[in-house]
Formats: sequence, structure tokens, C-alpha cells
Amino acid sequence: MTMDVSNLTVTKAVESLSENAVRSVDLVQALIGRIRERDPVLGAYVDLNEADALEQAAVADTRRAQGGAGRLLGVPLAIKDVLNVRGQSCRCGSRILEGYVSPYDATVVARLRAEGAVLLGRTNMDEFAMGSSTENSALKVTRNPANTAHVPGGSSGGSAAAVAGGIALASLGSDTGGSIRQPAAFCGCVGLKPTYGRVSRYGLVAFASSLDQVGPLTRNVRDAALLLGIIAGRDPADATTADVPVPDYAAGFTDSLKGVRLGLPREYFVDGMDPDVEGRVREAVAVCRGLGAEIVPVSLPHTEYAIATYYIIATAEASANLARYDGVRYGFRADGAEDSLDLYVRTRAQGFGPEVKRRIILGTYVLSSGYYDAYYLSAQKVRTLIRGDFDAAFQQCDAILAPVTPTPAYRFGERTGDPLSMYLSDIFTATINLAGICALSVPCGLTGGGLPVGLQVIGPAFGESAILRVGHAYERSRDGKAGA
Amino acid sequence: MWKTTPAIILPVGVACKLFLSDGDGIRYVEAVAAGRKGEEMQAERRQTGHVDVAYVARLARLGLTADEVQTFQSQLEQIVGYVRKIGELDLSRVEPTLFSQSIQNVFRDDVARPGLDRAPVLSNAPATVGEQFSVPRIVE
Repeated sequence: MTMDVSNLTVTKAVESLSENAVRSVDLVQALIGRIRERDPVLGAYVDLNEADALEQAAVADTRRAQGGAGRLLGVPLAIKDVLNVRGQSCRCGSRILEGYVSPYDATVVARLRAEGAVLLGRTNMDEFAMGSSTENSALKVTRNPANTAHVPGGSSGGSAAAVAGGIALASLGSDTGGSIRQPAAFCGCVGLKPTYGRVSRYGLVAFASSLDQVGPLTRNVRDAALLLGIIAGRDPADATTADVPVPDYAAGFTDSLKGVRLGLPREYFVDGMDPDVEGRVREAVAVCRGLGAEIVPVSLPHTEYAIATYYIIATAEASANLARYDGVRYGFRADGAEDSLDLYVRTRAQGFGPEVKRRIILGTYVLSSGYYDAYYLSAQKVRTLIRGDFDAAFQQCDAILAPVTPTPAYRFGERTGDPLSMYLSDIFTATINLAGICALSVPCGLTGGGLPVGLQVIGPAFGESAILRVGHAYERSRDGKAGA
Repeated sequence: MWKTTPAIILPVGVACKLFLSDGDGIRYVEAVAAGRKGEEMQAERRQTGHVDVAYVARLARLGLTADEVQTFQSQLEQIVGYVRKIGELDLSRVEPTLFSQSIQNVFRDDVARPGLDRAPVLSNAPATVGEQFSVPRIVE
């Protein structure tokens, strides 16, 4: 049978598959058909593994027929091109990883496989996850499904465009300063950045190691809860993963928010914000109040220092992480080098795009002799103050409500000439990575121009259950399903 | 013509070869390591937020064209001018946060485990000889 996959959730797919109402092979075929139709416009996928996906689907169908189980048995998923999938390419939107084939699975990918997921293809991104619009990809242009003249956000722009554009049921992305939540908000899907240490980074190509986290982009909050429950947990291959139990994240879902205290930080409602974005977010806050939540004012006084702190720490760590791309062990190598140093210099000159070069230079600069204390060490201290802000705020509330971005998705080329203005738009998201806590982006309506707006639900470390519960109750009420 | 010395930090007065971006490519020059004058200049630059893009690119083993140096110069000085904002804060009594979770000393049993298969790893390399990565000659 054929089925409409453009609005299908993971939860619904699992249900249909387990009732034998549909086979995985049919699901994958229907999805491939949709992708062929729609992706020439959206440009969400950088690599589609049709034959391999159909084979994985057939294996899943056989397993099911033989009584095999798996929480995602036969469910096709898309993966951001920053995660290693054994036997597939992993380009990270860069020329420098040309020809690279992953010799192993990232832990999150292995966990999806173990539950029977079908890995359909990989999605476009800003080069090495550096960017907020996916315009920094060296591979292709990805467009916002809500309006193709606008960027999808970034860096997980391909993942968000695929999910919101009806050509992926769900996908995995990575978030260093907002790279899951911002494109989710721009395109109109759900995006979750877990607490630092909640999800293994083994097999995730490193950008900024103290900030990076892998998380899901989905069509609803329940799917985000399901996928987080699968990818989360301690991993011996990543010593920064926390030994904290992984609960059933959907167990506490209700339609009511009675007894929940939600903080509203005054620093996140500022002059210069798009009035439609502020309007939609304030309406969402009112909806949560209507569901029984108590809204309390909170303050995060060091917010104004967050972007400066973020761009020091993230670029410093990136400059060290990206030192490995030298044309020796994998990927692209420049021709004509006469000695090793020349090989590194030429390979990196030709292999990296402008934004990556800019960040390598900034990161090298803030770490260089004589500048380390003034920039990198100071930024690490400001980070302590930013964490302190959140610790104090969470004394007064269970979760914080805020916008995800100050503006809706902008047009192509609008900000490429001015990197600083692009960086400043990360203000509501990068702060959360610095504090190492978790946050969820949930669609909360459209601007007058028809562009999606995201509501951000921020929680304390390992507070994913709380923010997913809030997001779920809000989403149900928004869709008029409360009590249904 | 492309001979070089990768040294960056040298005693005062010692001559070295450096590579610089020039027009469409990279050229090498002979230079003498600066002493106090360099330190003074650095202190001054720290005050003004000046970024010596060509010098930092050398530290990062990153070749840049003259156009890139020029573009990055103004963009990075604007960005550095902005991030210097954190200097407004009194941080004298604040401890740095290196990682947001306080996990320390993660141990595992010292047991050998298989690594990645050699063939798929080597097949990713741009050049190999037998079971080794191949690079340009280092020792003459």
C-alpha cells in the first residue's frame, strides 16, 4: 500500500508498523517518492541511500515477521551529515572531507540501528556546523519549506527542512550554539538540545567539544521524547556522558500544567526583536498560563555577555578540533605541496570555506600567547556567571519560556556579508549551551508573512522530562487537542 | 623555493623562515625573531583589539590569499572589538567553568580492545604506501 508520509510522525509510524498496517519497505518507498518530488526544491539531503535504505527496510520487515522487536523497527530517519554512519560518506558540508567514508557508526547511530531504525540519508548543514543559515555549506543550497526565498536556519538546516518539509519523519542534528533549535524554529518543527553529557558525542564530528550535543528534530514533542530516550545515556566511548538514568520521557505527559512554575526572563524580551516573534511567544506564554502554569518573572543578568563568551570559547575549541584536517589521514589533499608544512597550509586553504577560516583564525587568536588570559580564560569565568544566573532562576521556576530567535527566517544573502550580525542572532540559544542545560524549540505560530516562530522551553541540567512535558501540553493546546 | 621552518617561538635575535600570504599565493621570507619590541607591540595590540591575521593564520597552518587577509582583518577586528565586552566584568574572584558537568576521573579497565579495521581507515587516506599514510618528505 502507499501512504501519505508528509505528516507522518515517528510515533504513528511505529504504531502502523506494529499493527502490520504498513510495511517498512512501503514506508521507505513512499518517502523516497516524496523526496524525489520535493527535495530538488528544498535541497535538504546531501546523500540519499535509496538501495541501502530499502535493504534495511526489508531486513526490518523480516525481523518483524519473525517476531523481532525494536522501538524504531522499520522507521526511516535522516541523519545530519556531521554524524558517522558506517559505510556512508560524512562531509560536514565541507570540501575537506571529500571522499571520506565512515569506518564506524557514531554511538547515537548505533543506538538507532539497534532499535531497528532505517538510515535513509544524510542532511545538509553549515560547514562543520558553523553558521545559522546553512548558507555556509560547500555542497548545496537548502531552502526553508515555509518560504523557499528564506534560509532554513542552521547549522542543522537540512535536518529541519526535511522534517518540516514532509520528506523525513524525524532526524538527528547537533547543537553547539543553537544549531538544532534555531533551524527548527525557522522551519516550523520541534528541536531538542539535550543537557551536556546526556547524549554521547562519540562519532559526532567535533566543533566545540564543551558545547556540542546531539539531539532530535521531529514533527511533535512526543517523537522528540521517544528519540531522546533511545539516544541518551552513558557511553564508555565518551567520558563526558553522565551516569544519570534515562527515564521514559513521555511518562509524565498530561494536558495540564497545574503546579508548574514557568519563568519569563526579562532579558529575553528586548528592543529590536521582531514584533511578530514577540507576539507569538507571548501568546504561547498565555496558553501555558491557561493550562494552569504559574508564570513568574526571572532574571538572567549576564545574558548580554553570552555571545562574546560563546564566540571566544566555541572558536577556541574549534581551532583545536579542526587542526586534524591536514590532508594526511582522510579527505581532501591539495596538489603540488613540496613539504609537509606546505601540504597542511595548501590543503586547509583550499579545503575550508570562509566561515570556517574566520573561526579558526579567531579561535587561534584568543588562544595565542599573550591573549589567552584576556580572552579564553576570562570567557570561561563568564561562563561560571552565566551558569549561576540559571541556577538562581531555577530556584524560582521549573522551566523557562523564551523566544528561540529574535527574528523569523531571513532571506538568502541578507546576513552573509556581516558575520557579527549573524553571530548576535544566537543570543537566546548559545547561552543555553554555555550553561550546559537543556532546551526545546516548539513551533508557536506564524508571523504576518507566514514564517514559523519557535517557543523555547529551557530546563535545568537533566530536566528534559520537565521541558518535554511543558512542550507537549502546549503543543496539544495549540492544536486544539487538549482533552482529546 | 618552498623550503620552510615550522618554528614560531624563537629566542630573540634568531633568524627564521616564515611564510606570508602574498597576492594569490603564499611566499616565504626570512625574519629575525623580535624581542621586547614584539612584546610591547603585543601589549599595545591587546589594548586596541588589533588582529594580525597573517601571523595568526600561520599559527593555524592556514593559507590565506591577500583578499582573504583584507576581508578577515576588518571582520575579525569588528568581532574582537565586540567580544572584548567581557572585559567590563570583574572576574577576579570567579572560577572558570571548563565543562558544564563536573565529571572527573572516568576510568575503565585496562583491557585491550580491537580498534577500527585497517583497510577502511587506510582507504580514506589521500595517499598510502603499504599499510602506512604517505606524506611529503620531512627529512632531507
